[in-house]
Amino acid sequence: MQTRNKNAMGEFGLKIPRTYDAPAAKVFDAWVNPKSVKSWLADGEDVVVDPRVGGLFYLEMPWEKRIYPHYGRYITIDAPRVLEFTWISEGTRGKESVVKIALKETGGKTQLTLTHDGLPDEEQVKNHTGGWSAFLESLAKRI
Amino acid sequence: MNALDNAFAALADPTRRKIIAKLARGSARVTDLAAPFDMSLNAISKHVKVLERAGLVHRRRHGREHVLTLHGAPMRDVVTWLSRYERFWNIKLDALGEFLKSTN
Repeated sequence: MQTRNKNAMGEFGLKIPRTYDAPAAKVFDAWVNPKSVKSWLADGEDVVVDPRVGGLFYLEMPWEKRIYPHYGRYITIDAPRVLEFTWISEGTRGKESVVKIALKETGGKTQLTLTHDGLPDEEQVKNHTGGWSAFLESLAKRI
Repeated sequence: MNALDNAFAALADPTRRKIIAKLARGSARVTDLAAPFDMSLNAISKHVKVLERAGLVHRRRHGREHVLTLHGAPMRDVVTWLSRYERFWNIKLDALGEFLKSTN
């Protein structure tokens, strides 16, 4: 049974799609192979990944002129379709948010959908306003 | 809970977002706010209290009337936080694309 801290940031989430010209197995491996992770995701000194359910990862990530440590644990490992892990950093104020990577391979290409939950957003807001952040931004401008 | 957590929690509810949207058009009394909703004045008051606690709404008393005004600063924090993560993942997913190309 996976546990999630739904209250950490409210019940919203980011959703970002991408399509890659590579098979799903290769895309999946790029997320869990320490050498690959170090070359595209976390280019800091220390990278520790233990890709099994309950296993932990630790990534050092340079971002905006500083090194940010990120860590979490794997919730779902269903290669090459779903990878789900908790995500904790200074940005989440030390609370668990949840990142899910869903992969779908069609004709050698892979559709990736990244969702980051525990962040603000909701489908209904998206439907009405074309995006949670756009909604808030337009409000912020009017105030 | 810190200020940003409070703002996120307050904005997580659709009724409260509608209240915010209405107040964005100008200050209003609690009774004015309740009118478009199929809800009791009491229920609306509870939502307004959550928004007040999050610092999103300020209340002024004019005799017996309570006038509510929107306060935007906590929302700007939410926007900043969200857009930062959106940018972060977009950059990282682009880097993944470059990585996959380089290892073809």
